[in-house]
Amino acid sequence: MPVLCAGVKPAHDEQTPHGGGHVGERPDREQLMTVRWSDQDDAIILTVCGEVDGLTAPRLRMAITEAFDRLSGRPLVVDLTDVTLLGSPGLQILRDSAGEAVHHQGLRPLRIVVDETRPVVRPIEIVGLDQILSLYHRIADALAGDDLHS
Amino acid sequence: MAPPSNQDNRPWRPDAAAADIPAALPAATMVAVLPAEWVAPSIARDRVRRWLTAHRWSPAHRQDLVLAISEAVSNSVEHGYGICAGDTISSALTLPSKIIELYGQVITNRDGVRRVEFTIRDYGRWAPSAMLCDRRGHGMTLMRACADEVIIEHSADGTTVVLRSRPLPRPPLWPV
Repeated sequence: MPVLCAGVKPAHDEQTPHGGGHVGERPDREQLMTVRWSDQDDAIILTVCGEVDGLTAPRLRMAITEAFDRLSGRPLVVDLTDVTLLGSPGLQILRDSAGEAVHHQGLRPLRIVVDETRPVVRPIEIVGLDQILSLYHRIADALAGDDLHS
Repeated sequence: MAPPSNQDNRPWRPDAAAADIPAALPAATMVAVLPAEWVAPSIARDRVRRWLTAHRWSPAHRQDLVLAISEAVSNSVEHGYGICAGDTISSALTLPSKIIELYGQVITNRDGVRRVEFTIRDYGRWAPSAMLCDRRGHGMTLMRACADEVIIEHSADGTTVVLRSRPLPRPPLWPV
């Protein structure tokens, strides 16, 4: 069994007497998704873990925006290997970020790391983002810049 | 276009819900009432994931349905109740009428083929996302790809979305 993200827990609710589910406990946003920041000589690496939905996506957008501002010529590597759900708000961020990377060509290279697990690759393929994003299977490949498409 | 999920043999990641599968199948229906805020999709995903796991739904189909339901509930929050991602709403301010209802039902044919049908209902006024939250929705694309059939009905009272799964054979004897 692969190691799941530490500290990422599902949301919980509790049953009401009439059988319907009523929300008893609200998950902390930090419990659903974490973004780990790694500032290296050759790149900034954002490691995303957990579920990217409308609740958590704004934090990912902020992290990517901040990373873009601090690149100074380095590439931005976003590692989605440990993402367990990628919803439309997350896909929207990837699309917008890819657009921004193209707009500032060369200055803001964006490289996305995905492995072959379905939760991440499938939504990316369904909406056609695999045609737009620079996808890599491993961080080492992303740092080297050997695109899967090439 | 991505292949249908039942032909998709790529590896999947065992999720936490797979750890405890009860001996007997649970009730053929499930109900959840969710608050109209951005926490709702995660609660819906958790409930549906556990329920389908207990019904021994295959992992690929289950992941697709969980994603489709997450998108449907997200649409209710965003389009039905006009709450953009990133907006925070105090639960104390949430009106009692601002809820999202989620029903699930497993339907088994005489030949043992199973489908699951989900209904997601809100009582908001539907508005296009471009007006509200300045984003193009990938949600409908995901829902249509991850379910066999998607039916959306708008009325003055709100919006009802029905998601019908692809057919699945009777529960396997081996653990999923």
